[in-house]
Amino acid sequence: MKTTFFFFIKRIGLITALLVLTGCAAYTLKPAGVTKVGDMQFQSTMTWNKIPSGLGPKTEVWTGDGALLNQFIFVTGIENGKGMFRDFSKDTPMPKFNSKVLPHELKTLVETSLTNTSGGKFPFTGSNLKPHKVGDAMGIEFDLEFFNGDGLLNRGKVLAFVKNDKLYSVIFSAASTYHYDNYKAEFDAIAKSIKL
Amino acid sequence: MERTLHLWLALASLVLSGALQAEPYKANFDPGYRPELSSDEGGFWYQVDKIEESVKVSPDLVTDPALNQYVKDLTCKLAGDYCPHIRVYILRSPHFNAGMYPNGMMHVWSGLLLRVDSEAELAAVLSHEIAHFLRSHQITQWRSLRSKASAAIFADMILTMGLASLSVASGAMAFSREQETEADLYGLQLMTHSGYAPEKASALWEYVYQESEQDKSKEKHSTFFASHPKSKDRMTLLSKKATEINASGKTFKTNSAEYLKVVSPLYIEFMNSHLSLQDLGRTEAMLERHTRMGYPKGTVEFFKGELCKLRKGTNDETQAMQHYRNSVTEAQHPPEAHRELGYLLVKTDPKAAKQHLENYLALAPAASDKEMVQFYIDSANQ
Amino acid sequence: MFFHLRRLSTCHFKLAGLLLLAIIVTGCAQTTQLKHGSLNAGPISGSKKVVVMPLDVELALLTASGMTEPKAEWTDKAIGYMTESLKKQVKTDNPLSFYKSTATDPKSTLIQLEKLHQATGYSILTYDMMMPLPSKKSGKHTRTLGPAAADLARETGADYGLFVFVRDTYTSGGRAALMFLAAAAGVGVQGGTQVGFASLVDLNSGDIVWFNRLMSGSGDLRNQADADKTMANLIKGFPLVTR
Repeated sequence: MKTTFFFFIKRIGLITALLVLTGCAAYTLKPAGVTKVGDMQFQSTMTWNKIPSGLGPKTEVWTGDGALLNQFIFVTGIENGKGMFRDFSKDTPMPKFNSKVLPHELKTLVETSLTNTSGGKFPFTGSNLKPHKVGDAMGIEFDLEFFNGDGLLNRGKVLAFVKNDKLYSVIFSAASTYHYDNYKAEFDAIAKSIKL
Repeated sequence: MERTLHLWLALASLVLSGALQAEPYKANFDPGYRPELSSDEGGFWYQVDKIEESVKVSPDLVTDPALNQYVKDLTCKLAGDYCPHIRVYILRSPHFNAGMYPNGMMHVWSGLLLRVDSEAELAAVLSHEIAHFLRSHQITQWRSLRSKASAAIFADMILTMGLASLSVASGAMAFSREQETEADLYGLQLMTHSGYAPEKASALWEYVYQESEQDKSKEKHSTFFASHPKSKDRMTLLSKKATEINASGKTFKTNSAEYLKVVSPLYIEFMNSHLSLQDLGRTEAMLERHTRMGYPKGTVEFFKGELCKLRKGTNDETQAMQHYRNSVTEAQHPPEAHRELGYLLVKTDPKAAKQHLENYLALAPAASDKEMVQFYIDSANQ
Repeated sequence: MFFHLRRLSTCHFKLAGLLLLAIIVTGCAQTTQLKHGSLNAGPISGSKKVVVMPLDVELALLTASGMTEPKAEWTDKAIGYMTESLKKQVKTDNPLSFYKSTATDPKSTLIQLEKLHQATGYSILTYDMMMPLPSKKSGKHTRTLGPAAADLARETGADYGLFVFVRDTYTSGGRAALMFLAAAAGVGVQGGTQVGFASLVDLNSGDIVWFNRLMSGSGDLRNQADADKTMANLIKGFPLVTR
């Protein structure tokens, strides 16, 4: 609980700091269309908001209605030996990405990395693992399900692949009631249109 | 204040003098007690009642009817007249812990069930928690905490605008050493009264202590030890007392087989949740214990394979393969053992890999990762 | 014993978050009245049926050491007073009905709807009222619980659901003294605060058609007269109009 509590305070603290620093302009509009996150290009079909990501340097977070309700996490170009996200707790360090992994092993990497953003407290479990090709890179796609700290059931979808020995991922999650159904087609549209 | 001090001294001398057989412990309230809503205790109960409401709808609640009935029956046997006022909730949480709340709500965590090796050991933990309940330790502790406006809390409060209190409130609820000793001895009284072997109490603490020593990251402590201070004295006292009781010539039961029978169907689920802790030193200690206890060998070997796979040391891949092989030779084994073995063989022996992956799909035709596995099978064909 | 259960402690940290939000809101953002989109869409006929969801209320005492001590008696009475206030102040042609969920499965629609309402309320506070998301600044901005709300309509026969969430802390004598000292030293210490929100949900579409929030340093829910005042603030602008 302590981790969660302080994590929340930290997040609020971050928002406060941003408010002060930027004069209330910490969000960026992401209109529908062809766009680029890192060196990953794709096509979105809806308007999104980029909000501050506390997850790590190679990540970007988008939301439609607020991060508690729905969000996309983009992870672009994690190098061999590095974690997907920054470490949130000493006890549960981020697993390190090994560029020689077989595609199916990316599932555990993503699950554990997401789980460890809460110091291991809120487990993320995946199912329906499928192969998913992005260009000539072999990757995977799977479904997510988890309860957040308030007992709100979330569902999501994950795409992960390795290109030029670097890890890329698109992680979509949303409240299972209404929001998941409302935005899941967007995940498919983005996943289908990715180019590097 | 003076009264508290006297009580403290009385308890301490009780422990030190070894005058343990003296008076049997008694509950300090009658069955069915409820405090006045307007009292401070009433406020505490109210909070706990609300927690109970959310536990009832918690996704972490383990609902398996056989296991729930078993733990409930055992609790009833131990609690006697207080049985109707205790409600047991089994929760999916991989840590070693159980908890008793003043309103009669009891929590048993899946991590505890994975460590306990018999009905007698489970009885030891349940008795200990019931003893905290019967002696009203929670409310005593809460009152003393509330009256103590320590400098540290003050400083914290100013720094974080009063919000620090919220985390302090949860962390500071640990029982005092005296309360723990009392719960140990009263617990021993309850379990032997129901005919369970008294030496299993110290045996369980001994194991849990050994396991915590295997914890590779010293930062991490069992949440149980955080609230139940580890102490050689407590183990020694429990074991000494057990020897005395056994000397009386009475025979006691352990009921290992009964316990194993009820927990085995949930073993895979509980172990998967345990693995999410990423605490491999402990996992190793637990799996050794599970082998000795006699959980299905094919399943234990599978998890040994999972452990080696996660450990990622130099020789671990070879060892993982060996454990998965041991698993699949047993009549009862998880289909996943074939899948993991197949995955590990993909690079070195595509033919054998294909065979195991096909075995997996044959055993688990509705597997949700069917397409992924099929992809590897197809790749091996090319 | 260890008070550690991931789903149990969140009410505390959410409360903390809300208190902080209250501080931030008063600091920076201009609190808009949310005229755009589905929120506060306009008057609704008083002949519509309204069901009140279980009032999510907690009263606590903030002690000098900074602990919040939940007050059972206060909370129970406050729920009574608030229910009375609602009956008096919410003018509808049909009497208000009060709903109690019997669902126990955490994945059930009804429980998830309540959770979604909570998360949506936080989102309105965090984003719409504090720092609006750029995509919501123009065009139709709908806050909705989605079509699943129709389950609630079917179960209760109501057209609209009224959700109320309030956390109310009171300052003890010791705490008040500390606040005074801290203020003298130029340090802010939070005193008793009322934080909450209420929303009206169209149960056929799931859309939140009206939302109001409450942030006050002086309200009281411990007697009927003051509870009436607090509730009047909370349901200010309630859109049902009777003929």
